[in-house]
Amino acid sequence: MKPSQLLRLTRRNLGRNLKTLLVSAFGVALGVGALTFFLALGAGLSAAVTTVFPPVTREIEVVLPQVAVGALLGGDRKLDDDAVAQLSRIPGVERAWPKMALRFPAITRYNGSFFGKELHMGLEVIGVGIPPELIGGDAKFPFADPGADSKKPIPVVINRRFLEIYNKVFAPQRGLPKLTESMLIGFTFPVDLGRSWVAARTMPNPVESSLQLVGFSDLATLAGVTMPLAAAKRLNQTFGLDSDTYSSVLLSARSSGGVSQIAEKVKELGYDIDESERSRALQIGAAVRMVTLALALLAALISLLSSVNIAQSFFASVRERRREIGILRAVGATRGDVQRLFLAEAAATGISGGAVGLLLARISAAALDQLARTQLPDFPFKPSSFFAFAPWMFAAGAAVAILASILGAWLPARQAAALDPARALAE
Amino acid sequence: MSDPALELRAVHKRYPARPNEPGPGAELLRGVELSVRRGEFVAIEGQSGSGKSTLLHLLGGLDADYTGEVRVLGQELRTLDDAARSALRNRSIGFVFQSFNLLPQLSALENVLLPEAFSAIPDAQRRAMAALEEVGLAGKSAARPGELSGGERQRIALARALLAEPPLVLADEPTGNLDAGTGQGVIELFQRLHARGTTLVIVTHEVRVSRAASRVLLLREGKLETPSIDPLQTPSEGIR
Repeated sequence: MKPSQLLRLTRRNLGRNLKTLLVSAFGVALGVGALTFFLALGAGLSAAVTTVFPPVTREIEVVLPQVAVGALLGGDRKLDDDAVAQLSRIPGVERAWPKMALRFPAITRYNGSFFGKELHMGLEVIGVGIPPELIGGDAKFPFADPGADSKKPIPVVINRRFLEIYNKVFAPQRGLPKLTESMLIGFTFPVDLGRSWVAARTMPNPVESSLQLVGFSDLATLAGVTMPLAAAKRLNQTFGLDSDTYSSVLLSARSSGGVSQIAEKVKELGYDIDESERSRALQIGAAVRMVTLALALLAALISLLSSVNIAQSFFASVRERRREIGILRAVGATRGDVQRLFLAEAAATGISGGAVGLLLARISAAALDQLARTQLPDFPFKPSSFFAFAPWMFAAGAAVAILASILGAWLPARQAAALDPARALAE
Repeated sequence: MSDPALELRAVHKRYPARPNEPGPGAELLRGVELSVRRGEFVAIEGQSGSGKSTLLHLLGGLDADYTGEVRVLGQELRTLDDAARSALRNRSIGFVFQSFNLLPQLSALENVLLPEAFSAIPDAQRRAMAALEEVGLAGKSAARPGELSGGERQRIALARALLAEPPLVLADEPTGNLDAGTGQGVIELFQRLHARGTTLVIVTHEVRVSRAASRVLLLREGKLETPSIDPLQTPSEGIR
């Protein structure tokens, strides 16, 4: 049977059996629409989660174990320059970045105009020092320790997520203005080093200084400020605290594939790995994937039911069209031709239903996004869309629609092909 | 001498047994013998339920459930697979049915062109228009069957049967649903085909059809026989 003729007959037959087409296509539309909708929702949520918890694929944060086995055995495991050198020699490690926390308390007291609003506020400040090269071009002003004698403020960078939380939670609660990165670059605020709001923690001879925000970086500490490593060392030294050992060492692997081997080696050396960030990202990612999978399975089940629906419709259609099948056989249709004709009708049903389903998915997603924009509060990291439609999803939706339809029509088509033409014509 | 167009040897056919009926179904054809020369116009008469239509379906390769030998245009049907039988029906046999059997979703022209959907018939469009011209319905090529009278529908069905210019036309009560005038027009079309050398086998109740045939056979008690009363001589009483 020629494809053009098959197409023509299919079109005419479907036009005649419009009711059957609509009933069958509705089921397909529902299944495929739900499938595409849930896949796009899963991808959108994954993207949103990735923004909040970016997957750390090549970095490992090395820390001292909570209870060092070495210490129990009399050893003295430290994260000093030797340890950094040792860690950087692990095969697969591109570079080791030492980090040093400020080991004394610090507070900021802000009294004055804060971007047009009067602000009187005090906060504990947590600080970490990192090698300036780690943040690369994220610092817009020089990111280097100004030195003990300089009156210049200490440059710091903060994490972008911190700004998002400020804008979505802190600012609305306190009636403070929402800020952008460019507004904050260069902003200087006072800091009392060695002082705490908890009186008992305040060090003797606190020092008044200031911090200047010079950039935003995803590698900056989430809760606090990140300053040049030299500044952290110098300040710890000022207060007579340990300035030789590091709080942690960030290892950059040459490739993400080598991370597990590096982690193994790190543990062999007696260190531990801070996996809180990584495991949180993994757990949330896995949860999103699980929910997406469950919803996609539900949608697949709907598609399967649409397949059953199509089977019922086509069985009924074969019963109603026995004489027509007899006529086709009489004028020269083979059994295969009859089967192909019914399968082509099923495929056309699938294509129609699939197209409607995909359209429904897009419209529903747009409607939900609009609802979220207008009805949901502006929470941190609220995505502009909860859906991420990819071309492969449309291709998969169309394929599922056609496959489900053909699958449903398979047995009816075989039944039609096997029909005895003489009996069909005699009825 | 050329092969006969149709040849049946000891053909038996039973009704399929009903689900609650013990034993095999009733025997409808009981050793039918028949030979039809190429170009012959044969009318087959018989009572309702005598098996005339069944016999026609066997001749057209639509019914393969029989015993005996059926040769159509030199080919033993039992040796042909589904594709070969379908090709035979498509290119060499034209069917005309009592109830027209047109597809309502297609136009008159598309119905005539239907056989072309299943194999390449050269110049099909021109042939289809010529066939419509032949049956006097060229002006109604775009009409749907529902818009046509019974006679017009039957003529469209005849045009469809003629599309591939088959050497054999099998007709089952072609005038059964038509009034006298319209039926006569259809009979005249058959006569023109016969004059052109087409082999015709027509199952009929109607004397006027039998009168147009060159040979009349009677199917009685499962066998074909020459009727004792020649319908060609008694135009007012057909054999029933």
